[in-house]
Amino acid sequence: MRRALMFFVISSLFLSGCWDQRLYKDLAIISVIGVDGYIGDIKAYYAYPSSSDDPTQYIVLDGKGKTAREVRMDANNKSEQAIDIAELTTILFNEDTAKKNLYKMLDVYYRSAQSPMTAKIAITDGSVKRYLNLKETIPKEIGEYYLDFIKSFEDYSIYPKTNLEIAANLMFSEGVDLGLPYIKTSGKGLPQAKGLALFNGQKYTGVHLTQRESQFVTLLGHGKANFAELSYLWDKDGEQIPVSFSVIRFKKKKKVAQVGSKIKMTYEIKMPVVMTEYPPDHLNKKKKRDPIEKFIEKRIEKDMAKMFKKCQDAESDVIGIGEEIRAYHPNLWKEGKWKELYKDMEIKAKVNVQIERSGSTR
Amino acid sequence: MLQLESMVEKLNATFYNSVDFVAREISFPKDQYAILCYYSSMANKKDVQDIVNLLKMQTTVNEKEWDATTSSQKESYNLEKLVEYVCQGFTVLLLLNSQQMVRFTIPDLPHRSPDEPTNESIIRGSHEGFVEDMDVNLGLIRKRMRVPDLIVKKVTVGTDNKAEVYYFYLARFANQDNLTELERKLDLMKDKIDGLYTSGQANDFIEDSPLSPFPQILNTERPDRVFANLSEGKIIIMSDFSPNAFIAPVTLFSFYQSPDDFNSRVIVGSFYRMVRVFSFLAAIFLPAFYIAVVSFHYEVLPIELSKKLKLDISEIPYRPIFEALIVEVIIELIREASVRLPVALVQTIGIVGGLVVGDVIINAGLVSNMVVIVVALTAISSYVVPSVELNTSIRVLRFPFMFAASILGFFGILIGALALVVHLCNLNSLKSPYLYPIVPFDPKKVKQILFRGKHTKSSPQPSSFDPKGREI
Repeated sequence: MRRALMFFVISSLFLSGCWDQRLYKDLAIISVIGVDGYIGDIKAYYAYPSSSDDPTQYIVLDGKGKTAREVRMDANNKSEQAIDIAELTTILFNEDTAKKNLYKMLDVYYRSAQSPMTAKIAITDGSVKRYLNLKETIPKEIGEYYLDFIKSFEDYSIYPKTNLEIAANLMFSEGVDLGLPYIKTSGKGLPQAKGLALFNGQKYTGVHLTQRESQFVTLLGHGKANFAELSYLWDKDGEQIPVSFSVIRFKKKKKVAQVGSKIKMTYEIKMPVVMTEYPPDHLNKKKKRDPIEKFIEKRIEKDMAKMFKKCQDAESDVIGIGEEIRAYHPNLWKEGKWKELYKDMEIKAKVNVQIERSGSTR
Repeated sequence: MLQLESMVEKLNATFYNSVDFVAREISFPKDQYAILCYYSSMANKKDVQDIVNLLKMQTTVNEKEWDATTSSQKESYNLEKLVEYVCQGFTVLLLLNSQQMVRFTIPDLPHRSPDEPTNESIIRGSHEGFVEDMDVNLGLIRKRMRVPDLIVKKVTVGTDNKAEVYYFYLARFANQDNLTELERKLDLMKDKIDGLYTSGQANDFIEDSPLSPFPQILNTERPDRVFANLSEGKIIIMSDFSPNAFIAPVTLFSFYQSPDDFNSRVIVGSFYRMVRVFSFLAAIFLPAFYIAVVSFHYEVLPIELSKKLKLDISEIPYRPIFEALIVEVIIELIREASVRLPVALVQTIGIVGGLVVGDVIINAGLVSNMVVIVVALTAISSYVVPSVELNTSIRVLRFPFMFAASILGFFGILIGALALVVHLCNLNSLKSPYLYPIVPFDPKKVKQILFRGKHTKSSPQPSSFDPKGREI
């Protein structure tokens, strides 16, 4: 028994192969990477924290090179410790880089076992350098900051949940396209989320949705996350009334029909809401509620129609209508030619809003 | 008369003229003269006088049964026996003319009062503890177990000091296999030990694998714990010179049960039992886990934690294993010092240790914050075990795991855990499986490891055998 045990232990030690020790204390733990340029002339920025006092200090290394790996090696030469990206939280891409081909720039991450597949990707307006050298002091370390920044939008159903792994899946699937957070900064103040960058395959189309449109994409394509809030201003007989609500449930039914050579798709949405702002009050009366529900339904239908149009024009199927057609209506699906059909589709939304609760006051 | 004096001289010589040996001639109605011999250090002189007076009186009243008192016994004279009795603390009255001797069973050996053992204190329930006297100890048990089939047996061990080892069990429940195995081992011990002076010696003989880090005998100073185990069919081994009772056969999980569980409420008792199971894992694996994370697998750290931790340990001049070892060694030193020191000084050590380890050592840059947290948590976890033996074993066990983690990371911990489990599966306590009910698996009893059942339903602690005649 003892001999068998020894044999087992020793052989498992040898069979495992080499385990390279990577001492945490000897590495520069990169938390954010920003990429400018494209293959042939890439410039990348690597940020890592240098002091844990508040406000957090961090160092930004820059690297230049022809390939993504070369850039990293170049940056490594400038650092006193070896660069390690195992705890990377966010990768920022210049929109010009993403327009050429995002996958080719990301390939370097997919080939290493130590790459964090949960890292977020975001598209920036203009050079990424500005997003890493923030003038404003931020309350957190910069990697944490961008991670929480994107995560909070995901929690509020504004962005669909994405990370390195999901992004790769979406870039290669035909029936659904990738949408990434689009952030913008004026140079002064903190960067702002400005909507959803629409992708067609592996390339950024150059079109981005607004935050509200992005929220509808998330609700339709991925369902409600933890929260979903909306706010409109109702111009009722010259009086400006704020109407804000939060979505309790978001149920959708899809109806697909073929009209001539076109595919017609109708979303029937049932959406119970809780009012979060409505100064005129008296929401307990059905007579008062009905017009508000009508107003909300109309506005959402209008906004959704705009969103569908924008996506179709950009040839980006971020909602994943293609997947639906391919799975449930295979006779309408044409392999390899989906985008042509998608462009001419007639997509509509019919919304049914119900004010289920009125908040603490009636 | 001359014969008497020479006899006294002879007795004194037999006992090497020891100053505490008393051989005194007294006048006695029956034989005119008698010799009273005893060790003054082991007999209460007043009691001796009382019995002698009683005997004197009885001789005048009743010729035939003059020797009959509750604590005396008459037999024919035999020097060898006399020596044995006196050494055991009896007082012997020697009647030379009729070649008889009477022994009184009134040894007055010094012993403590049955106070609660300090290393096994509980909050609720009986606060009695065993002492270094077998009669008192058996009294404490008989007080709780008023049945005739509590069988007490005695073995004399050690050619040098003739120590007495007792073992007792309930005939109804005890398992014959365990009993035979124990008797075999005690026989073995009889021949091999010259002088039995500490219970640790007996421990090594009774255990199936003395080299294992895990104790296979539960050691307790609490009568209530002994009582509970007796009624589960366990065998108790005690000696005359030590308050420790050995309980066997036991399983690993017996060490994680405290009388407190059964005295407190069901939910509370179950909760703390689960806390203890967690503490077992934390005490063995936590430092190893820390070392593995910072040397191999730091990507498992949440980003919020990583920044501070990374910058902290960047300033430590050596590898994580040495960092952890430094703190471990300091904690072990403090523990050892506080055990040895007089009670009054222990607090001082606590303050010095707390300040040095807790604060200055971090400021000095010798170790990082996190490693102090990890090691302190581990130390606390290891002290949660209600048994002293297992808690020391566990503290030793974590060092191999730390080395394994520093060489191979999580993989090393896994290999160590594998070896540990295989070892535990192999272990026996008096030939009964040690890891029961996990191995061999008994799903019904597994829940008893984690929960304490209601007393209204019979649910003794999981034992490696079914006590005969009892439905579990």
